[in-house]
Amino acid sequence: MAIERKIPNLDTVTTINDDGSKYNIHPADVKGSFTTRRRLTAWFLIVVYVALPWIQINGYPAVFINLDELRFHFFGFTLLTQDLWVFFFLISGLAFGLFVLAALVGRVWCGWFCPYTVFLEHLYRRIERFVDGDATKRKRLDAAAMSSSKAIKRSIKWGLYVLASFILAHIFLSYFISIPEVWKNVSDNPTENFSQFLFILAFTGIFTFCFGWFREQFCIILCPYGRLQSALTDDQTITVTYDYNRGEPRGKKRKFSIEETGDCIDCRRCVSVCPTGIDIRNGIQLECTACSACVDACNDIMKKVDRPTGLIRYDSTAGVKTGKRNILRPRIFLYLLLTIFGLGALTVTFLNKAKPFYGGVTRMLGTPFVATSEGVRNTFVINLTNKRNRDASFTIKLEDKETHQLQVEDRTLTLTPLAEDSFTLSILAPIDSYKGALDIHFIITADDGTSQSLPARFLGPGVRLYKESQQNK
Amino acid sequence: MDKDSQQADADIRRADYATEKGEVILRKHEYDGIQEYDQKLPNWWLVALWASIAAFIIYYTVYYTFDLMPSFSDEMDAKVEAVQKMRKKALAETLAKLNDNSLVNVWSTDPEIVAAGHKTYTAMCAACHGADYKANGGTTGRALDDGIWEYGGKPMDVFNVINNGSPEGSKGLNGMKMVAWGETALTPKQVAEVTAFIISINPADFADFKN
Repeated sequence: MAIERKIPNLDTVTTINDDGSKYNIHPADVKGSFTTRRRLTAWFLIVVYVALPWIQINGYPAVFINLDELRFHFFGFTLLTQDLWVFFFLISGLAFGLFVLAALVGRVWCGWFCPYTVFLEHLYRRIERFVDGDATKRKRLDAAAMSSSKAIKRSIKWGLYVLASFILAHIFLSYFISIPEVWKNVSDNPTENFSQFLFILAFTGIFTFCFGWFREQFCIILCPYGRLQSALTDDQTITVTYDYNRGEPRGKKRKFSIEETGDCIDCRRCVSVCPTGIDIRNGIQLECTACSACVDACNDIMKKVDRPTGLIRYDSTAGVKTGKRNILRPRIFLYLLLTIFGLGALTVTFLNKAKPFYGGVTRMLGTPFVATSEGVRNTFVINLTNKRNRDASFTIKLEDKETHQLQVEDRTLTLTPLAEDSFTLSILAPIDSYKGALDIHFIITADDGTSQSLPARFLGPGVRLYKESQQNK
Repeated sequence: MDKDSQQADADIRRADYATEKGEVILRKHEYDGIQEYDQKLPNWWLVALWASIAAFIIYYTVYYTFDLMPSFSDEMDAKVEAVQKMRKKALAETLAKLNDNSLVNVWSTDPEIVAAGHKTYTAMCAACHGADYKANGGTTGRALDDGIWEYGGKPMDVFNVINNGSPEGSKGLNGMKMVAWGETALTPKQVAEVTAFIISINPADFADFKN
């Protein structure tokens, strides 16, 4: 069976054959400054991903989505389900941040930071390279008939894929049930935590499938962020581009020929290293994830043929065409403004609303008020949740300006970590100072000084008729 | 695919595929000057599409046509029922240990039970019945230390009022009636503890039941 070679063009997706089957790409090895930087970034991100569940802040892991108890621990802050609305601002702030970044530098997220790329390029492809060898060897192995050595190699490779996916699935799980729990469940019988076992099996399968077979199909066809970033790219976006002014007409320069050729010697190194199977010389394309492998590949060759590097480089379409770049254009400022709004709103609301406790007030079951000769009485139920991971005591009073009209017993209570408690509170408006229904505020103060004001309404009968009816008694 | 930015069209490897295969890759119809390529979708995509249709059919028949597995609402109902059962069981268990005699001699003499009852009282009952048990001069509730037991003076009567609320047909005090605490905010055990506490502050009233 001949080794398949497809020539990338602008009318088809290289990785989809004309009968619908998948054409497997085997990118060649590449070395260079961008590749080094990408690897370092990737490994830094992997370390962060693995380390976060281990790092404890304020007694809880740095990122811990506790689904069992519905508490979300995030870098020292503990959010209850009532607080999750802050994530709306966080996400919209991040989304606009992505818009700015994509409009400025194109799909830099895809090529450098995306977890899919990080795991695929710098973990799974490394495994493949280790087991199966370089691109030529891999293509030959693909084309060869099944033999015992091929079977052994395939088993080792897929075995390593499954092992890596297995470990990643456990780390993923630990974001939801914390490392100590994961460790305990690992040593227990799988049937005891069956849903978690299914979770691990499912994600091992998903990771193996995605990073072992599916690969670039996700980036090209499925990923919405990829399309979003592509849509935000315009003529001024700095991304991986081929300088056709310098490069064309391409071809190998013959020594004693008078034919003029451009810097591109048509060595096709840029095509052979591309993980999505395009030819960057055809222009900025849908499939390109801006991984900058072709940049390093071309620079390598340019040095060897004694020509200046940068034939493929980070530049904008307009920059290549005219030599001039206009990076700070109106839409950048617009996106920046929206990002600042989003993140600003997040910070303001977070600081205002994210308190170490949650308090709520409702009216007590029964009649809305009791009117007697002593005065008018309302009873409320106060509900408190201590979000801290230590004991906290709270005092509850009425707002100052209301106390001359109303009497209430000041209350203090202590709650254990993450505990919730409710209690009743009765307020009396003595008949002499009763002036009708009014808005009141319960001030709850925690022992660390943070306080919250809960509004409620003190109800009662009409003043004149009430006082008359009491006098007549 | 920005054609304008490419200087020389001829240099671009375009539609070699069509030439090699001898196939027409553009569909005839034109939509506002745009023509459509005619190429196969990836097989994995088509498999996913057919699989999700099959999954829907299986899901619908299993869960809704033949009721072979419980749907979400079935599971919710089952959970609610389980909770009701648990409550009934807890009540039955508590009642099995309770009678006039044991309330006075066992429950109200145990300092831990009385302390727990006091705590529950302060949180839930003191607002209406007063921290001093005088119910704010008898306005928001009945006083609990005046020796008058409107709905019966036996320990189990007190338990029943707290657990089930004011009896049916009673008029309550000033239009207010006791809520069925045992079904709303308190477990039957907590109700028993509060009863024990009330008994402990009124030793004289329940002396008849003391051993």
